Amino acid sequence: MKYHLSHPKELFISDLNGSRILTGNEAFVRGLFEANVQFLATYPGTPASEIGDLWEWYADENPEIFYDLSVNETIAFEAAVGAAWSGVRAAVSFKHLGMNLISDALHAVMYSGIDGKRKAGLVILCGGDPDINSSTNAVDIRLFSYHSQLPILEPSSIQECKDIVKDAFNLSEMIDLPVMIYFPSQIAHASGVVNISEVKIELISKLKRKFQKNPEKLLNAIHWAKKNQSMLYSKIFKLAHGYYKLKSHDLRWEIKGKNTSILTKNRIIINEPLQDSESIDNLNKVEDQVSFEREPILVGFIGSGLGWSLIEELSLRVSVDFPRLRLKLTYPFPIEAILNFIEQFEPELLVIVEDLEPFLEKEIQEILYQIPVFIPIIGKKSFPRVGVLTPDIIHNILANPLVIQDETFFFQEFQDHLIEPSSSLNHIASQIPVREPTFCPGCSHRNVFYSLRKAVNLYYKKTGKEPIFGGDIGCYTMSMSKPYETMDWLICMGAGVGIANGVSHIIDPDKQHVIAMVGDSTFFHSGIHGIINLIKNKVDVLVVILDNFYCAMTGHQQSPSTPLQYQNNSKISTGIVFSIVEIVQSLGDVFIQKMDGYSIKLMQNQFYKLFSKPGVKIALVQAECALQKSRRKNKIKSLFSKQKLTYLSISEDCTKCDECFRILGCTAIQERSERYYIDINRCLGDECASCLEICPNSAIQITHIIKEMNNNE
Amino acid sequence: MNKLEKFYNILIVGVGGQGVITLGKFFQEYAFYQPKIIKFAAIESRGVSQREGSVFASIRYLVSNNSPKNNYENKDGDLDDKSIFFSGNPPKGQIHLMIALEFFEFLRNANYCHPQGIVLLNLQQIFPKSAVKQKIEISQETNSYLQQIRDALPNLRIISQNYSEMLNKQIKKSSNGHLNSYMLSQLLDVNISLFPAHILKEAFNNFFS
Repeated sequence: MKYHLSHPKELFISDLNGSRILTGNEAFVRGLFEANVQFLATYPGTPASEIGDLWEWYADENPEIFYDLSVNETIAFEAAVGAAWSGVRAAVSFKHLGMNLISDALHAVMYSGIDGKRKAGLVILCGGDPDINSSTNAVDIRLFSYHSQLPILEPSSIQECKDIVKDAFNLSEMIDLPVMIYFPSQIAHASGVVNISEVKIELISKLKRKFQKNPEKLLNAIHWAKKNQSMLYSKIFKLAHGYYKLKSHDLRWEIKGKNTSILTKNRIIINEPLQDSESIDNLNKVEDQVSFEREPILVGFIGSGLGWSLIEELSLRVSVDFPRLRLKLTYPFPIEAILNFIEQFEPELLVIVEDLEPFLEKEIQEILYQIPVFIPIIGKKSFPRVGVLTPDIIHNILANPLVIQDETFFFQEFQDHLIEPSSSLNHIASQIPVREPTFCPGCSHRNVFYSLRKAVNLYYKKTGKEPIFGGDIGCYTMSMSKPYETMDWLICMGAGVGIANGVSHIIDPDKQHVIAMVGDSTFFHSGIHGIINLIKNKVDVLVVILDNFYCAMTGHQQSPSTPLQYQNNSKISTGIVFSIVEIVQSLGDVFIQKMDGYSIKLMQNQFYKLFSKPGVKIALVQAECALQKSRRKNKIKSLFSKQKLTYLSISEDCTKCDECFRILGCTAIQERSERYYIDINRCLGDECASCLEICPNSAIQITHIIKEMNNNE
Repeated sequence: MNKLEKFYNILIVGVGGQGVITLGKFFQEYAFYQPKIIKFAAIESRGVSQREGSVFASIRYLVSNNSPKNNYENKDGDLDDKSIFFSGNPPKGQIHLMIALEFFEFLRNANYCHPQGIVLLNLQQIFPKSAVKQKIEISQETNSYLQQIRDALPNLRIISQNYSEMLNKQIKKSSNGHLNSYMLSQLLDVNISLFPAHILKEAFNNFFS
């Protein structure tokens, strides 16, 4: 038996029993299923992309289930609001940056709320990226709740990712408001065991679904808006103060630990003043000048979500069952939780573990101030605001000198259990260059940026005009790295074109020229608005639209321009294809140059000619994502016992001129024993062969082989 | 944590497209086959598949030294996920088993190795295309780096081969193969108490079948 899912459809089996290994995203989707959710809208973004991909399987099989792969996060959120207002449980999923987009709609939707009596709750599943692994920033979206009042629940384990969805809907319907489940990528992409039991699925049939008119609640204008605003504050106040009769307080917080489980505060007393070059951080060097005083101290740890699993691990590491408060509801802050915790343990010091901003810390400080009670806090003054926290980071900080309220101390138990890797190993790690991700083997984007780089270099040589590259978000973002380096900014979806507009107004066109990039999915998401603005302003900008037919970066979701023949055979295949060419043509007098992403030399010439054309001009490069194309063709090939395979290889004529290895930068071309070779496991010879076109020494050979396949392999 | 329980940490490192994530999934499944494993937490990096970025998969087992409790016999094979929380993040200096599918990724992550740990190391080098200009100086230092690691962790057991080349020879002779499962099969000869051959084989055959 395999414990991972054998197929996504397994998530939607109602009489499934036992344990499964799920990712956080898979567990959320099972939770949506068990909670009888009927509508999910999304715009894909790491780490939340898989939620929609998985839900699509459910929607595809059940006519009562709906899936909207929207063009952007705002549209997705608004669709989910509409579905909830029409009588079904609805959810929306996106990454943290989507929160910036939905913000406008969210603030008014919070005023209106939802109708809990109809069991038509609304839940926002929002993934975060505190380590900035696949985003342009780490914005802490919990802060949105200060002004929108959006309640937040945070799971700490994969099991809870499933269970919390039902809790979120129950809460949403109890308070008549949308509720957000927040999870960082370290939860979405983590895996764990989820215990699943049989559930009864009860969906609302079409006969019972109806948009419920309620102008006083849904019209946010004049006196209605103020009334709704007051009601919102009242609901949030009640939730914070425990007025709602929740099933148990477990939904909001949890307390663990013993008041006899103390830590040892090892206070450092400086006997002789330290020299400027000496630091208390290195106790070995200054040990003669300091003395230590040990005293027991009861420390309370507070955290939520991922922070809670860190606290639990630290308790295991030092074998001290110290008092700890876990917040499941992190907005509004459950005031009872902190009051109970302090009353039960009377901690002398609090340690608050949270990623990014001091969100919990500020709430706790305010509550302590109002009680009033003074308890020192180890929080964001000691722990980093940048990056994701790990048990190692927190452990290290607590094991080394901290300065709190004029005292310098460390915790003896943490120092006793501290394991520090040798400095030489850390030094080696720092010497190894960062492996910047690049394009997949066979990707047409590599050809585009190879050609573009050659063309701008030649144009610069001839005219002295420096190229300015407006970058955007998608697979083509990887052109920012060597060897292409064709990106001068990377800000947000649509900003490649948007910022190019301002740049082109200001620069001297005799010295610089502007090239802005946008992908097919980004074009529909927010790029089109910038292009309209460029055309309106008649500025000199070359817009390169890279259409690989999918939202490839996030898992090959369909984009509005996905050709019919490549659309998934599913419910979201509407049979409609939006033509980027026709849309751009409809905007006015714009020169459009269509390009083939696999004709490198032709593209180079086409780019060169476009640079000198005045006004807005569009280079539309259309080539299907090579990975997707290869998978599609392999499926067909696997039906046949004989397959024609294409292999590329490098012959003895290779002079190691670096054109293919470094300048084209194909990752299938590697080096072994001082020779370049093509890794046949990675090369997509059938789809690409770009190295063949650019090799100046004709040293690349192509071989076609008919191979008898054992389809059982 | 009970004194009879301890962590066993595994870190798999490599380059996008080498099969790191799949290998991570194997070790997640393995938790159900080895009765001594009470619980696991796992995390992996995503998004650079095929794109030559650094990839890791971390699996942390909570292992019982007490009389083995067969999870199959316990409540339909459930592993309890409710009572104990711990992070899937790999702890530095505490990785008991590292499988490095690429040489530079081993160097990058050697500081995670437990002083008495085991490393299964593929000597194949895939130099980052984004840093090709640094290639010569780094490559010249590789032997020196390896020696520095042996000096810093003299009891670390490094089992190294160019498994990629060995696999390629095998492919030419017989059938298809993948580096991840090929390297995993080498673990059968390593003699780690948590991975007895009969359990490892059963899990291997079921997972890769």
